Amino acid sequence: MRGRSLSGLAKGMATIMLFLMVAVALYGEQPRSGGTLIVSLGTDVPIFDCVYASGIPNLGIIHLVTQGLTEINPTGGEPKVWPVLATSWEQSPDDPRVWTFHLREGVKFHDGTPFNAEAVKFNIERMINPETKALARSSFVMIESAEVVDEYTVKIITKEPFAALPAQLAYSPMCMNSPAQVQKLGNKDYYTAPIGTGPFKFVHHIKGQEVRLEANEEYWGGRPYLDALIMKPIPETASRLLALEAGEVHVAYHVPPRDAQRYMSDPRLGIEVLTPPQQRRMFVGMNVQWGPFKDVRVRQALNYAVDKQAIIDSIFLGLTKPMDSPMPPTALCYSPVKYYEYNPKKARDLLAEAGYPNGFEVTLHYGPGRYLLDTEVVEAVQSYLADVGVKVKVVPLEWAAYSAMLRKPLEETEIQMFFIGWGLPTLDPELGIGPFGKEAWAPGLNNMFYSNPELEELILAQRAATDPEERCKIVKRAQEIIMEDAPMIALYYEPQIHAKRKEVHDFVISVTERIDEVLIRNTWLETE
Amino acid sequence: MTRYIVYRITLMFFVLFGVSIFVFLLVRLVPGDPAELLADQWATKKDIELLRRQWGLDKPLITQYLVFMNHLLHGDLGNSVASNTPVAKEIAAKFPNTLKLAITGTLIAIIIGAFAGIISAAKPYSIFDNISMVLALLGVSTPAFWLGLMLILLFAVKLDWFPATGAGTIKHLILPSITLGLLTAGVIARQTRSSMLEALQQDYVKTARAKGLRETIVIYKHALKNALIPVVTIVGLQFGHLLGGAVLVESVFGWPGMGRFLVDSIFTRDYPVIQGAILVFATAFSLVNLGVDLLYGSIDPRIRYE
Repeated sequence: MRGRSLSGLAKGMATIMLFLMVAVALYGEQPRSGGTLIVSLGTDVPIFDCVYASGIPNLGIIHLVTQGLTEINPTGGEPKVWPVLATSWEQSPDDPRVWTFHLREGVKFHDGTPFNAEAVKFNIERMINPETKALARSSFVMIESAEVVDEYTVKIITKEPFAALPAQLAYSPMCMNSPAQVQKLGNKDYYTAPIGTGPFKFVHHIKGQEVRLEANEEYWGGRPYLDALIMKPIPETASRLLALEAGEVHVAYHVPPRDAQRYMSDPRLGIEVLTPPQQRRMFVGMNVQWGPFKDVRVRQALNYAVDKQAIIDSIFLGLTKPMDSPMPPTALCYSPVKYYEYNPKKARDLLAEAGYPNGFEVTLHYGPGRYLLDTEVVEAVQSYLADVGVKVKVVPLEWAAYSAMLRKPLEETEIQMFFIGWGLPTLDPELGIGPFGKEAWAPGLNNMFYSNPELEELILAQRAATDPEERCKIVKRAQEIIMEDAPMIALYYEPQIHAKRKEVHDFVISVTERIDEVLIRNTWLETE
Repeated sequence: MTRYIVYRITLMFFVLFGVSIFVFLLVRLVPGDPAELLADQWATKKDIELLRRQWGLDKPLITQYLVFMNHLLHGDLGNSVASNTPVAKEIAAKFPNTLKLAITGTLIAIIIGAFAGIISAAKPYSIFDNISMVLALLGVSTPAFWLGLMLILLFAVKLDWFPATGAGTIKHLILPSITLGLLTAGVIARQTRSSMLEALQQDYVKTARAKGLRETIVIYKHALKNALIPVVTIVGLQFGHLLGGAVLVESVFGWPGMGRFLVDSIFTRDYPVIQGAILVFATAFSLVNLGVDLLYGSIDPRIRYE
C-alpha cells in the first residue's frame, strides 16, 4: 500500500514538474514573488475553525492556514490521496482496523510549537469528542482512537476495518490545529486566532467583509510567492463578476455558463475560465417505495426518456458529461457501467410493459438556487418526461424547508421525486456507493429508500477490503447494480466553472472545490 | 415631556416582549431546523438528535423560551448555531455598518427628495415638476439590485472611481448609499410635494404673500414648516426600515450589514441569530419612532406631550 501510493505520487509529481518546466520554457515566464491575491466566494467563511465551519470552498480557505494530514489529488487523477502533513500510511496486514501514519518531520505550527504525533492525536480526539459539538463528527465516528507511536508516527484505529480512512482524513472538516493554541484560547474562541502549519498565516477575519492571510515565511514546502491572500465574500453573482472584471478581485468562484462563454470569446477582458474536474452527481431521485416507481421498468423508462446530452449542451455549454455510473469519473474505482441513451420509444415501451401506457402523475420537489442552473434542468426534465406521458408537478421549496422534507424517514416522507446533487469530496467509493444503501435511508442521504440485498453486502465488503484491486472489483459490481436498478434518473456531473484574471499564474482549484492547500505555494501574480 | 418619554419606553418594553414571543414561535413554526440543515450530509438520525440536544432544541418550547429570556435579561443573546459565535458579538460587528448605510442613504434621500418635492410644489406642473415626479416614480419602482449593478458597472468597472463591492473605507460607502438614497428619495419627493401643495393653499400663506414677503420666505418659513410633519413621518419610517438592513443593496455591494446577516440566518434556521437580530431591529425601530414623535413637538409647537 505504502509503496504503491508513493510511486504513483512520485509519477504525479514528476508529471507536474515536467509540465511546469515545459510551460516555463515555452512562455519564458518566471514566477515572481510578491503581491496579494484576492479571491471571492459567494459565501463567507462561517467561522475560522474546521470543526465548526461548513461549505467546502469556505473550508478550503481555512485549509490554507490549518492543513490536513492528507488531501485529495486536486486533478482528480491517481493516486487519489496526496500526502500533506502525513507523508505515507499503511493499513496493518494483521489487523485491518489499525492504520499507521508517518508524519512529515520538522514541521512547525505558526506559533513555533512542533507538529507531531501528539498534535494529530489531539486533533482527532477533538473532532470525535461529542463535547466539541463538531458539525461533521458523523463523518469521523468510525475512528475509535488515535495512539502516539513515536514523535512522527501515529496509529489510527477504526471501530471496523475502514478502507477509505486516508481519503476520509482528507475531508475538509479534519485539519491540524496547534494544540497549544486550542488549549490557550479554548475550543470556543480558537477561531479568533487559529494556528496551523499552512503556507499562510491567519491575520484577521472581518465577518461578511474579508479574510486576510499572510505568507508563512517558515512554510515547510517553501515560502509561497504571494505575500498575502484575501478572501472577499460577494454573494450576488453579478456583482462578483463585475468585481472580477474591474480587477478588484483576481478569482471569482461560481461563474454562470453564459458569462464563462463571454470571457472565453472576448480575450480583451483578460479573464480565464477555470473548469476543474467534477465530483458532484446531479440526479432526480425516485422514491422506489412509491406507486409506479416500485417497478424497475418504470425507473429505467424515465432514464431513457431524458436527453442528458442535450441538457448538457444547451444548459452547460457541453462543459460536463452525463452520468454513466453512480460515481463521478474522478472517483476511485469508477467504471462507466451503464449509460441510458436518449430513447423515448424504448421509454414508452417500458412504461406500457409496466402497465402505464398512458403515463402517470408525479410530484417533483427541489430547492431552487442551490445548484448551478437547477431550475432550467428541472424544467427540461419535466418536459422530457411529459413527452412519454409522465406528468410531473414541480414544487420548488426554500432550501431549509426542502432539507427538512428530505430528512423525513420512510413512514413520514412525502417525497416522490426530488432533484439533488451528491458531492463526493473524498472521491472514495465509501461515500460513492454507500449512500445508496439502507444504512443511509433518510434522515441520511438515501431518499430513494432504495436497497438491494447484494448491494448491501458489497457496501460492507468494500469497506472491509484491504486489497485495492479486490475493492475496485466489488465497487464495480455495486455500480452496475445501482445503474441497473435505477433508483434515480442519472443526469450529469455538475460542472465547476470559476474564473481568474490572466495575471494570476499557476492557480489551482481542486476537484473538491477547494483552493489547493499545497499547490497555492506556486501561485504568483504578474503585476503589483 | 420626561413623563411621556418614560411612558413610551415602558410601552416599548411590552412591544419588545411581544416581539420576542412572536419571533421565537415563528422561527420554530416554519419547517426545517438547524440540526437537520447543518448536520453533515452523512449524519444519521442519532447524529441529528445529538445536535438538537446540544442546542437545547429537544426541550419543550416553554423551557426553551424561558432559557432564552433568562439569557436575554442577562444581556446574552446566545450563540449562533451556524458559527458557534456569540450573537451579540456578531450583531455588534454588523450593526454599525447598517447604521452607517442607513444614515448616509437617508441623508441623500432627504436632500434629493425634499429639494425636488419643494421645487415641484412651488412650481406645480412646470417642466421641473414633471421631470422630477417622473424620476421619483422611477426611483420608487426601480429594483434595488438593478440600480446597484448599473452603478457598479458605470462607476466601478468603466470609470474606476469607486470600488465595486466590499466595505471599510468611505469610498466603499458611496455607491450603496447613493443606491439607497435614490430609491428612497422618490417617496420623500412625492410626499413633500403633496403636503407642500396643500400647505401652499392655506390662508396663512395667502396672508404672508399679501404682506409682500419674498416667495422664498413664504415657501421655506411659512409653508415648509407646516408641511413637514407627514414628511418627517415618512423619513422616520424609511430610516427605520433601513435600520432593518437593506438586504438587496447589501448583497449587491457585498456590504456586511444586518440585512444579509438576518437573511442568511433564516436560510440556515439559525434561531438565536434570527431572534437576536429581530429584537435589535424592533428596538431600533421603536426608538426611531419615539424620536420622530418627539420631533413633531419641535416642528409644531402646538403639539404637547402630556
